[in-house]
Amino acid sequence: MDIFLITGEIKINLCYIPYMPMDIQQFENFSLLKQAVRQFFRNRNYLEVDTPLLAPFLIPEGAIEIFATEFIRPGHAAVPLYLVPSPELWMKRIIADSGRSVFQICRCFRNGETLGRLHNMEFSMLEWYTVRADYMDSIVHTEELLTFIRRRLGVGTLTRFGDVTINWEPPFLRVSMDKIFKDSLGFGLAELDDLEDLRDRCRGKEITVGPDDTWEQLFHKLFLSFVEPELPRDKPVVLYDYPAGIPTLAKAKQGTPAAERWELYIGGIELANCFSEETDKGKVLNFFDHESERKKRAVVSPQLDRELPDYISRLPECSGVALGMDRLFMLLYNIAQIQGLSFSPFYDRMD
Amino acid sequence: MIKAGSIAKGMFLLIKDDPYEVVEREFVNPGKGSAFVRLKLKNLKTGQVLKQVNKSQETVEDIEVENKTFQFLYADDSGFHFMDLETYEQLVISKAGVEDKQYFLKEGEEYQLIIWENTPIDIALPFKMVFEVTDAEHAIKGDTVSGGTKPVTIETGLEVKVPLFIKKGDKILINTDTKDYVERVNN
Repeated sequence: MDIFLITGEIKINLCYIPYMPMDIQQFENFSLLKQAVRQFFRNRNYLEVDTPLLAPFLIPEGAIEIFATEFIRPGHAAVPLYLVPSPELWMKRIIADSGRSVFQICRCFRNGETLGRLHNMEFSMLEWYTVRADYMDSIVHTEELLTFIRRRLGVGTLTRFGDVTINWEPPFLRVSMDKIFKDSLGFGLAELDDLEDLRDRCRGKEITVGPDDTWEQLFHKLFLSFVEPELPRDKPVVLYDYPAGIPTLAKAKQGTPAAERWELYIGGIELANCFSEETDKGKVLNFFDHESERKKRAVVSPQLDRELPDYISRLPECSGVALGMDRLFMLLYNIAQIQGLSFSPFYDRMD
Repeated sequence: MIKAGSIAKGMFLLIKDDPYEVVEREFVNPGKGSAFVRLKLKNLKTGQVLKQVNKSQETVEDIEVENKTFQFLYADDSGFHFMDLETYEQLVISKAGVEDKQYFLKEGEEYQLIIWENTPIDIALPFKMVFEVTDAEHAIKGDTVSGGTKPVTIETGLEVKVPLFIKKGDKILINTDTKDYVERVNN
């Protein structure tokens, strides 16, 4: 059964299927996937945590829209609450207090993203933090995790995803953002340092440059036009040393314009993101101010986690990875659309 | 003007004075980045393909078009010839922008043309159309290598992969978007 949501004269083309019968084996496999992840981290003495999905405040992240709700408290004013876009704010508090490596599998919620084959408004995230490790150590951990999972699930080294065959054999291909820009575009990150340079480079490549386009937006226009579509799909690729011009809580890489950050692409899908976590209070305050400002332009402008600079400065050296479990499942079992993982999916009918 | 985030496949945009059809549209949210739309556009004057990335919030110029029914007459070097069924006026669409649609044009058949500023810029094909198979080789017995399909040619010259049981003279349904075989529709 399809339900079309209609407001006034405009058909929104959002389609909701209340119940879609699913292959029971798929539930079985997803459960086994979660078990394998837990086993891997428990074997290594990571603490599994289970943090709230409803938060009274959030870390400001300008690029993410939020789902807002409220706690109706009889006899009192309602309390605004938000569905977490990531469990980071809780997990970093736990690490700061316990000094432990931690992991969690939980639902995360992102508003304002158009539904597509890779996007749903809620999804399962695996997030883990390793103390006394940096982003390069996390690449190895990720390789080991994915190999462990495949063996547990009986998935071979070669898998089919759409029309590509993926070879999951570690070590994964590692390419720096600077090198891949030089290879694809003929210039490196050092040449994009200020906004004017970047604007010129974009115009030279016939990229539309809007008057209010930020450094991050122009960088991503170049990246999405020329770099990302050309990434190899037949093996996992770790793109590392992202430009520090994209505001994040990743540590700056000393003496370079890069941040200690990577993204893992498998089969052309962005699967995981990793930082060496920033622990400098001053830098976190800068991030907080910058992103709070951006957040004012968002549809939902949530209460902000003002303790962030404090607990982050108490973090031990650590590296965190966030990995989309639904996307991983799609890759392992050759499922083309994220909606195929839900028995109650929303679809966008714009196409 | 329209927000890039509202663009859908099949819409028409104006870029540097030329009309473009949106052939593909994909939303991308790079990690820790803003929301973007990746577009594949076809210039309807030259047929050239343009790839473009816009912020979802960016505005782009869309164009107002109308659909009108015409009868396809024939194709020659100057283009595809159509006739307005109300006025009997004839017009030509140059092949450059719409060449890939030639395989779906049958003489005498009615089509919807997309008209912009009194000029036809595109042919709107039905999602699925029926064609006769004009050339088909017999399937080779025991051939499992080809995955149970074989190539046949339909009346417009297009080669399509079909199941082995399809014969010359069969009528088959084709998806005009993907150029794929859908089913046999013999009575």
